[in-house]
Amino acid sequence: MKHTLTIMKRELRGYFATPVAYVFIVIFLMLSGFMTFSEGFGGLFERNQADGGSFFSWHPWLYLFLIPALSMRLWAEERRSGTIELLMTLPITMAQAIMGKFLAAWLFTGICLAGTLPTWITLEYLGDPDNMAIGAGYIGSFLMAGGFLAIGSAVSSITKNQVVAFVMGMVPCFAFILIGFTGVGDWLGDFLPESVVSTITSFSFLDHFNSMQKGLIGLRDIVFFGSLILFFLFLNALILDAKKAR
Amino acid sequence: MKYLFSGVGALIALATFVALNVLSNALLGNFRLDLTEHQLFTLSDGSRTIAANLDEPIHLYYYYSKDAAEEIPPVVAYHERVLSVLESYVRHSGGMLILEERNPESYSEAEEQAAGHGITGIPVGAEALYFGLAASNSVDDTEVIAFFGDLSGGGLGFDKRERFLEYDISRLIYSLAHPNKPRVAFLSALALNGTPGNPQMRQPGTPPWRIIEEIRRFFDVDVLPTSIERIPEDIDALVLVQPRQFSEALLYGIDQYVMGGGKLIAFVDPHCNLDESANDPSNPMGNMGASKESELNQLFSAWGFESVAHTFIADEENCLSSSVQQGQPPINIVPYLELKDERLNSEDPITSQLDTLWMIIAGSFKPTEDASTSFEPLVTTGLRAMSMDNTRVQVPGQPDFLGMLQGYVPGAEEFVLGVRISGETSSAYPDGNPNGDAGDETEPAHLSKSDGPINVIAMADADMLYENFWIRERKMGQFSLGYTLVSSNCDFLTNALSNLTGGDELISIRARGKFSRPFDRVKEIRDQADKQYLDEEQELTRLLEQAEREINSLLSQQEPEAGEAGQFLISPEIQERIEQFRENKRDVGRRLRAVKHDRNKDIDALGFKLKVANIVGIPSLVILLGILLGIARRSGRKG
Repeated sequence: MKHTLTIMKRELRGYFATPVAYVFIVIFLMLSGFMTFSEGFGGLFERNQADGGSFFSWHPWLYLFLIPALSMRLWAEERRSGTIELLMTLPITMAQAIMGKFLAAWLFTGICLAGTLPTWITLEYLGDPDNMAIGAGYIGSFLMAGGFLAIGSAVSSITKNQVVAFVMGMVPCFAFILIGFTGVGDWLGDFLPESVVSTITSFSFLDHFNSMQKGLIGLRDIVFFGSLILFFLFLNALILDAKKAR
Repeated sequence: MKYLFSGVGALIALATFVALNVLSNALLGNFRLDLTEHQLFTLSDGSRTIAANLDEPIHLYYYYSKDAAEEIPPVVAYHERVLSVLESYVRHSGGMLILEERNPESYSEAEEQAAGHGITGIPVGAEALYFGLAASNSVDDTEVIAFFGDLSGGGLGFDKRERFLEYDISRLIYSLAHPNKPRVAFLSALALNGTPGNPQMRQPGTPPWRIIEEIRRFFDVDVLPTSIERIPEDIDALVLVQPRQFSEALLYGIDQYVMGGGKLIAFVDPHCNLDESANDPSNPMGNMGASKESELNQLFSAWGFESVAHTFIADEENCLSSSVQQGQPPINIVPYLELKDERLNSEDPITSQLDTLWMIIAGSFKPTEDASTSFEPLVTTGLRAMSMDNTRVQVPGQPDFLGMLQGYVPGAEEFVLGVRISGETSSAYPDGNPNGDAGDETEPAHLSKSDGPINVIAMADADMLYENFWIRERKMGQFSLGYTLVSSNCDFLTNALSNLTGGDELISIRARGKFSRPFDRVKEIRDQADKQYLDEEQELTRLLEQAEREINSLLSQQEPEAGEAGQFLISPEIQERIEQFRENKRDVGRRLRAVKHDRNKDIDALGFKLKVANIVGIPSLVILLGILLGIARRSGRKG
């Protein structure tokens, strides 16, 4: 455990050593703000409702683009530059390395989310929002970000090219969002039995995130994101191990 | 480890992931934490019990136009809440509730089905918005909520009904689960069924009370004779109207009925205008001063409350006005109360949707000390009401309303005119039947304590049920043009009976929290601007009227000058004044429009400021922070 935390701290410090982290946070906040407030998208002010709807509904899309950008450098760069070999000679297990890097990236995402607190303050200024529900939304968003990250981390271990890792990472993330659309569900229903379709849609990020952002934290949502993260980190380890053998 | 890290391992992991989630979806669906402020997504216990107690299937048809609704965010948000409540119901019903969502697009089958259920779409742009619910049970009874809002106020009216969303759906399901009309019995000193009259004494008969007919639409009504000594067991609610001179045996019967869990609504009255029961036809003069008061404090005080005897309540701020003498302008009739808005309890499903109650010479209620029951006011006066002695209305002819108004002294407290009493309590006859045991084995055992909580609603006026005070017929000579409601008194009785006969579960469901949270700050700006607008409008209208009066007086003063062909010429001064008047009027219009414009501008400015702060401001702060930290680090390295 201690090793994992050490790796996490080292990674995190590395993020802030260059301006890249700040640039990323700024882009995150600007995009989040833009999508929340502009009339064509969230229209928070125009909607005249003091709830987190305008804000949270854009998170899946925000994460779709920004998190692969974050995760692409988790393993691709290490493999390309060879520093991964150095990492493996240290007295740490692969699991600890993977977990440490993942937690660092997750925590960094948490910092970006924390930067959106002014939006919450804006809602509080304008009216009387349901603060517990918004809190639940933040928890849900943070969990979902972890899900995106785990996928991105696994994908970045496949290639040595960061750009490829970025683009490839978006594909499964997009898939997990897409299966939550009612249109897609209807289309699948044309050739698959209803029970299979509803099982498929239950694996979508939207399905779980939507109820969490309304204020409902379900055990099944936590199980979903938890198991998703563990599964993809396991895949991550599997891939790295397979590549190591070569 | 080698085996784990292989293609096989990956497949196993995938299978585990999928299986785990399928299981968790199936089993853990109900395990969720509702963190919303008012637990909006959780059904209250009463609703859950109603759902769980269903023993025959009920079909729910939810009509919702997804595409038409997408244009209107409040509809989408409210739909999510409605659907969530319906799905919760289904989950708790053990399969007895079957929910079917229907999207009534143009020319679809669902559109026809909606029409069949009496649900119409509201025109929204080019499309029609359907947002209602129909339900039917196994004997094809149907209940419908035509629209989940309230269109009477001009808008969609979600905020008016959303607090009672769960109550409305629960009541709908409950009444389908219990298709037989509930049985309601009335006991009264008044001739609710009318009287045949006495041709020998030249007394005309009286017609039955209209309200009994109205109630019969929803309930099985029985007007019982006051000679009975026991309340029939199979009735679902008992209504007492002006319970004057009831026998001791009857009072005991009522007490035991309530102790056994029977639901009671009592309309007592310090002075019931319509009570002719004390009248002795052979002594018309003696009736003049007879008391028309009814009270049941003998029973009420054991149940935790009492009506304040021999007094009626006057409220100058909440009363009707009428002319008391022919040819005279109307005055405030302070004991004829008109109660609306804050005077009616907005948390209780009985009164929350009522518009106006009229109470005609009403008394008031107080809780007793050490009451074990809860005293929940349903109807109250304003804060400046006062109480007056009964004797002021126990006079021949019309009471001195003018004197009451002139001698009115505002009080400093609210009086409770209607109350809901619930909780466990003791009988008013702790020692058993006052008439002694008849030794009859069919008589039920005496209850000295209530069997579970009692549910009693008491109102301090009986006249309010009479048709004059809630409905008017519009006539043109002999022809009836239909009826208009002048108060919600009848709805009050219907709601109260619906609530009480809906079982204890329905009674326990109260108002839930609000889902809609409009911006208070924006509302403040709007309200302020509206007030400003109104003030300006009043001022300007006043000026305009003044100018108009001036012009009119000038015109009337001028002597007509004969012009060509007998035309009426206006002097140049007046012409100028008229021009000025027109100019002022245009000015007024401009100023009023400017106020409206400014209001919108202020709101827009607020929006703009917030947008800039969030999109640009905060990220800029982060950049600043980054630069500062960068500088600090560099200088740290240097130093």
